[in-house]
Amino acid sequence: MLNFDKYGPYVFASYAVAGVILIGLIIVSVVRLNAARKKLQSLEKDDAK
Amino acid sequence: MAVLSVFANPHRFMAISKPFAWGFTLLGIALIAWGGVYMGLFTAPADARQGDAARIMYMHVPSMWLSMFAYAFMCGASFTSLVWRHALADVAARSAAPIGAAFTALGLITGSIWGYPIWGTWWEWDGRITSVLILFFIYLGYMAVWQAMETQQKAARAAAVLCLVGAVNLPIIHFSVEWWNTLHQTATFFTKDDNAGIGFKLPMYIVALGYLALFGGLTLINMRADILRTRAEMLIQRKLAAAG
Repeated sequence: MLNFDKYGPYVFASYAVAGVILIGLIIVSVVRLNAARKKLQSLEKDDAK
Repeated sequence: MAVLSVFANPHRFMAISKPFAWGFTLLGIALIAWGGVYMGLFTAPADARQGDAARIMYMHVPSMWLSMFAYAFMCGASFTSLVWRHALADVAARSAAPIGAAFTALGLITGSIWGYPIWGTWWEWDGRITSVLILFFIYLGYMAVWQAMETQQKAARAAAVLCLVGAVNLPIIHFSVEWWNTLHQTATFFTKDDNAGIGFKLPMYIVALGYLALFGGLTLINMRADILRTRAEMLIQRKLAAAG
């Protein structure tokens, strides 16, 4: 199971790079959305006072 | 044009886009996990010539397709912005750029890792690889233009023009393996000589759909963030105007 012989390091390295890039992309997008939402909410709260 | 008009209103866009943003993102993750990880690593057969190294294609090939699709999407949005002044077209193009750049980087890196055991080299300055590297630099240049201009209007116009000029690179990437001698193999899928078995194709198509769904979801998330930031900026400007 998951024995890719001499190609193993290359296959796993490719999947690891893909995982890092895709998960990083998702995290950055979600964090930026939440930051923008929080900033707008705090401004609107100040505005309402 | 009627469909475009529906999404021209940012308030309406914010109301409609939320379930699609999260739905596409989750669908993308599920498809990539199923097609790429489960099928690509566990059930897909090894290639007769390349052995298990061919499994790298389940990450590499769809990322290259997506890198070109994302750029074509940006060109469509840029054209819409320049011609019809659509309110959200610039936002769509700008939101897609970092995602397209990330997929291009993924394609370049996984291609390099695949190249070493098969070709004996990490990098080759041939037509295909070099034109994809140029695509990556165009993505970076496009994002830099948005940061460099004094106003958003100037940045939007300059970025849209740059994007459309850079589109000339897309056919170069596609035909590079036919125009020049290269280490890179010619197109295998969607050609008349396509004789790859379904065991190879199915995981690749599932990952391609997953990447496409993830691109759609993350572009919508980035667009929503962009619109919220713009609203915050407008609120700050209004407060400054009222105070001064």
